[in-house]
Amino acid sequence: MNGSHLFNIWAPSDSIWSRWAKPVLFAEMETVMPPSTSIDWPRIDIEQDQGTAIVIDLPGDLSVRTGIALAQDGYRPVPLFNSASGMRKHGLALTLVDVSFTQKMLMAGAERLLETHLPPNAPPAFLLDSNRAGAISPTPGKFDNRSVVFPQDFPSANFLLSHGIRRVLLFQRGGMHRPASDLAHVLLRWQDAKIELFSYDRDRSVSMAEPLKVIPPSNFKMLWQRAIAMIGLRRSSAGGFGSVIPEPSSGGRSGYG
Amino acid sequence: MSPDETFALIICLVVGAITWIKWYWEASTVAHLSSNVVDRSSLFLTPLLAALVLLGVLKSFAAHDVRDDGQYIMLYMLMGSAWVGLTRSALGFLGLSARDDVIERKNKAAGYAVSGALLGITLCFAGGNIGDGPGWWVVVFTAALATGTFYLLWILLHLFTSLADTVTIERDPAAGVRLAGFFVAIGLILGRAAAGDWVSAEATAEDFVKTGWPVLFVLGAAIPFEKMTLPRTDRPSSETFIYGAMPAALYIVISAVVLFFKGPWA
Repeated sequence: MNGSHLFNIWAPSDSIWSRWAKPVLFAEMETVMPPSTSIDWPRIDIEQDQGTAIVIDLPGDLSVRTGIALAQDGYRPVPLFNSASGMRKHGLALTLVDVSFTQKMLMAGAERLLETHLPPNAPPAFLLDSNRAGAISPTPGKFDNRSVVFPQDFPSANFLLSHGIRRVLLFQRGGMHRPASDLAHVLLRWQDAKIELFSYDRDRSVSMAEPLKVIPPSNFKMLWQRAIAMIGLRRSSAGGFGSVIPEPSSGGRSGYG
Repeated sequence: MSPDETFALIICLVVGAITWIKWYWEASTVAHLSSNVVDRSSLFLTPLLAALVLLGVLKSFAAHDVRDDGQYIMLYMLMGSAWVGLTRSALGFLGLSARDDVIERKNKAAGYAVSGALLGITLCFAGGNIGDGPGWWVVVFTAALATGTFYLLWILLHLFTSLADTVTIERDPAAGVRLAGFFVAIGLILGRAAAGDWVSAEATAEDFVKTGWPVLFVLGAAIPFEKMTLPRTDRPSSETFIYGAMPAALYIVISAVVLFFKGPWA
């Protein structure tokens, strides 16, 4: 199996949500290796509700594991990881956002996902990596795969509502009342369309989900918001973000267009 | 060709090569799992169509010393490729991106819109080539007037209708076709407004406003139509022929009527 086959498992053509799935991490997989150790897949006691979509903003590997757990409850996990791994060419030590565990979980979770036999109209659980902004400072020679998400990466409020989604549950850790600033652009558009938003701390019980009120982030709905947000980020030829920060004496590419 | 024309030719050759090699490289190689060649076909074909349009205008309406001289035709073709290659980058800052929307998100609506924008900008540049003038810088001046107005009208249309969101977030193909029609329609009028024999910069700007103001008819038609067709929960996207191709044709017909009444340039 290669990355393309694996992507087709995570984004099957019969699911209406697959058009939003991101193939960035899959594009870099030449061969998919089965996991060498057994993985402890968590369980989340959540009742499937056709009117609820889920956004999981947790560290990448945990996001995938949570997505697989939700698939057991009838949700279709939709990977929206936008950071290229850079592993094949650059190695882990030089990468600003470590996505290697996320990739491994995507490989390991595929078989389990196939076993769930999700129907095409299963409600979506969008998977994000909460570490996408990176924690290490970008310096020359490093592989800069920091990324952001945009409203263009998600279905519109009209699309969600037209498919019966009236509630969105945001899974995150800490900062219960404050989504990441890039995600706030997405959630606020949904909130403005009267979609109910709830925030849920992954380490607590789902019954403790709290209503979420998103405040307008900077440049909200501005024509140039996407271009401004991309300043300083580097694109990857696999799609999404990721390329080496050039040494001062050499040229490099970044920006928009 | 004079030394400054040769210099301009070399600059345009370099800029055109850089911008279009990057364009075709991205269209051919980037994010191959996100979209296939068919999804990206408009990105491959539209620049070629735009080049044909420009060549047709140069051979038919440019000054006699240009249209009958292969070197000048080459100079202005290269200038056109550099002009469109450079100025289309502004689209990315103004909500529409070939790479982000068409290549990486397989967004058909954006594919239509970006194609329309390329053709519209080409028409703005082509208009600057019509008529007699003292040199290549006259073409740059008038093309800048037309292209700047082109982007201003796009910003205004978005401010009133959020059309960039309808194209890039709602991904409504009909909205993409309408926007393509809008871009071509305003490109026709702005290109016509940029045409004419050179007298002075002031006279050119004055003539541009006098000839180009009917572009507001197209904007005036587009704003209410976009507001009427805003995506709703019961209609997240609209039927492409009725709500896309027909309004786009209407915008272009408005431009054709304006061009007809304006008559030949002076």
